[in-house]
Amino acid sequence: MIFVCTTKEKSGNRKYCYPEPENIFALLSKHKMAHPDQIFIEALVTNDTVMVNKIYHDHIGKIRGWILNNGGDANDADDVFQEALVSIYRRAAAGNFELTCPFEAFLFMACRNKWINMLQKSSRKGVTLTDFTGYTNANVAAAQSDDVKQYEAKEQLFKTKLAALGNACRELLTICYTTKSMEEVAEKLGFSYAYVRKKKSECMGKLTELVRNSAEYQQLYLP
Amino acid sequence: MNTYEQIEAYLQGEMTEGERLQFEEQMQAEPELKADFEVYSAANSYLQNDSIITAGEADLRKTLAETISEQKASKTGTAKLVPVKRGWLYATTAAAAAVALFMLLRPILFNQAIDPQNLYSQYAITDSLAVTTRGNSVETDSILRIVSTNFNSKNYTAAIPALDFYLLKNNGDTKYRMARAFALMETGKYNEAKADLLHPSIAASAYNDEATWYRALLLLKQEDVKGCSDILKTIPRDAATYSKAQQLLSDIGG
Repeated sequence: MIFVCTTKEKSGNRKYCYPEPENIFALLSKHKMAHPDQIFIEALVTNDTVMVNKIYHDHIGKIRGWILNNGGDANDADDVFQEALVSIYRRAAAGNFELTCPFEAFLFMACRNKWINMLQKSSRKGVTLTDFTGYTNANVAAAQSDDVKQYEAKEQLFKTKLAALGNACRELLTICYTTKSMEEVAEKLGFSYAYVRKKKSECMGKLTELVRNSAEYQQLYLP
Repeated sequence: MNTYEQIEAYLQGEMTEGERLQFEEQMQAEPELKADFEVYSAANSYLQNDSIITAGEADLRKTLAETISEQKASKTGTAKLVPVKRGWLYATTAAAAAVALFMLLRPILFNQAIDPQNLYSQYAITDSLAVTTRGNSVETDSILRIVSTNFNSKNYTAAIPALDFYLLKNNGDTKYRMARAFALMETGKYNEAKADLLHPSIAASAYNDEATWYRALLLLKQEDVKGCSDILKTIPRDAATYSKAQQLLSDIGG
C-alpha cells in the first residue's frame, strides 16, 4: 500500500497520510470475495468425496433432462457430466480460477460445451440445441466456461506439439520436469549442468516455436 | 545468452534484480519477445503441473465413477404389472404376511437385540483429508499436514488439538470443522461434537445434510436409538445421505 503524505495547513501543519487513491480501488478489488460457490471449485481440486457426491446429486437431474432433450441418452449425460467436471478440475488445479457466478450455471455451460464437442466428433448431424432458460448471469457463466474451454485447448496444443518434438527433446524435458533440480538431471544424464541447461532451453524454445507457428496459436493466445 | 536461455533464466529466478527489470522492460518494448515469453512460460507451467494434475484427474474420475454407480444401485426398478390368477394371489399374500410377521417378531423370537455400538462402527465412515497447498501460508500448511496425518491414521486424540488451532484462525472452514466433529465423536467427546455439528457455519453450508447424518450417528453411539431414529427421519429424500439413513433406519428397526 502506498501512502501519500501532505502537510495540511488547516490542521496546523501536521503531516497527514492517506492511501494513494488508485490503490484504494486496487485494494478493494483484491478483497472482493469470490462467489460463495467457489467452495465447489475447491471441492473438485481436493477431490472432496462428500462435495463431489453432492455436486452430482444436485445437478445431474437438470443436465440429464437437457441432454435427453438434445439428442442424447442417460449414459451420454453421465459422460458429459464427468468430462465437464474433469475439465473444470484441470483448469482450477492449474491455479487462479475464481468463480464469479453460481456454480450451477457455470456447470451447465461447461456440460453444454462438452455435448457440442461430442456431437461434432460423432456422426450425429443436424441436432439443434436448445438453451436452458432460468439461469441468471448467463453471460458470466458463458465467459467462465469459455475460460475452461480455452485452457483445455491450450493443454491439447502443448500435448500435440510435444509429440511433434524429437525423441531426444521429449525425453530430456520429461526428465527435467520430473527431477527436483537441474543438478540432479545433469548427474543422471552424465552431462555438465551448463550443457543440460542449454539443451533444455533449446527444447523448450523448439516447443514454443511449434506452438507459435500453429494454426491454433492466434485464436488461443492473441486477444 | 539467446532468447530462450534468457527466458529460462528469468523463469528459474536466476537473474539479478537489475537483469530482471531490464528483461521485463525489453518484453514491453518487443512484442515478439513478449509473445515468446507468454508461450514458453505457459509451456513451463503445463509441464510442471501435468503429472500432479493428471494424477488428481484419475482420483476425481474414480470418485465420480463410485458416485454414479451408487446412484444406479439405489434406484428402484419399475415393477412390471402381470395379471395373476386369484388363488395364486391369495396364497402369495398369505405367505408374504407370514414372512412379515416373522420378521417383526424375529427380535423377540431370537432374542436379537440391536447393538448400537456395532451398528455405529459399521456406519461411521469418513473421508481421508487431503492437504491443499495452494495459497496457504507455510504455517497453515504444516498445521494441516499434522491434522491430516493424524486424522487419516485415526489418531483422533492427536488430530483434535491441531484442528482446534487451525479452526481458531479459520472459523468458517466447514470441511475441517466436520472433520473435528467426527474426531470428537470417535473419542467420546459428545457435547463438543454436537456443538460443531450445530455450528451456524455448517448449517449454512453444503455439509448440512452430512452433519445431520453425523448427529444421528452421535446419538446411536450414545445408545439413544430412539433419538437417532428421530433425526434419521428428518433427512429429506433429495439429500445425498438419504439412502444410508434409510438403511440405518431399517437396521435399527425404526
